[in-house]
Amino acid sequence: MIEFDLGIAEQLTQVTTTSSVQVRVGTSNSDLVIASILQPLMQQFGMGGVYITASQTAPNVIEMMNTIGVDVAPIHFIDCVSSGILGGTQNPYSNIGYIDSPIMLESMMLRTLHHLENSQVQQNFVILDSVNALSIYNEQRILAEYLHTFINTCKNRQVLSLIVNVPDQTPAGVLSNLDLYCSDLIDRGQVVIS
Amino acid sequence: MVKAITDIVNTIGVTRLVIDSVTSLCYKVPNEQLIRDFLFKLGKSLSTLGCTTLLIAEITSVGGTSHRSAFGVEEAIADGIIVLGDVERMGHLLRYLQVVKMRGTDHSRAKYALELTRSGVMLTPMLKWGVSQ
Repeated sequence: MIEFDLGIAEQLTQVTTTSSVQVRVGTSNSDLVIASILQPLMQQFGMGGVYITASQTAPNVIEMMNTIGVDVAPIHFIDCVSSGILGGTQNPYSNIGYIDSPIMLESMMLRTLHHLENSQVQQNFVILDSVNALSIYNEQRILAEYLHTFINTCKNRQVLSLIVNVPDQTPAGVLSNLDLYCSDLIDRGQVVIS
Repeated sequence: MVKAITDIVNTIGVTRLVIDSVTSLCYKVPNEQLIRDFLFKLGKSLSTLGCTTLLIAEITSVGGTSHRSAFGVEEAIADGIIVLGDVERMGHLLRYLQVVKMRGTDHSRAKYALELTRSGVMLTPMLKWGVSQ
């Protein structure tokens, strides 16, 4: 049985819907960290949300979360890599929308707002997974501009934003922008192997 | 042509009229002066009747010139200009909307990314570093 990181659940009790949380993960623990975020947000706090996936396909995330034991059916996924890059949108999941490319940052924003406006749940979150995947396709200046807009738009609409990144794969300038814009930090970026 | 349109507007009490497209309507008109006269008379007649008209005009980006109408006169006569186009970014096209002119109103002249959703048209300002210089 997989054990959730309970420290994350405890830390999430301190944030509000106007918070923006930088989530630092390592390359080997990202799924568990994300599951440990989703579980309390959905089960404990009854929140709905949008999950923007650029680091892997949405079906991969859904299947991984199902394996871990987190039901993500109520979440809407915005998949930026299946359609234009990884070449396939056929899957059994109806809670996924597709964007042609991770460079279409404005489309990501508009689709996110669209789903939030139509959400039946009062309190919502948005997970951006991940900044380092977006930095493969977007240059630093536009990515920093997007993150600035994204975080402030979420704050204005009282939507909790969680921005996932692998620190050592994220451009230094973008990382320092996140330090500036985000109100909270969940730091699981350093994995100690004992 | 102006009389035919205004008669219809008068008869059924039209308050919104779309001409799609004014480019097709005028493509056989031999010179710019006649097009200007036609559009001016049309606009004047319809506004007198309390009818707001949307003139759809085709534009092209060929040659790099930045016209906002096919004949170059529509944009001067109209009270407002809304440009719909595409911005290319790394081989992908993003739709945008830009209000270039809207007489009597205080409006943004920036480009806005446009997305067609089931709830209707959604707009957000285009990222400044993502719009070609």
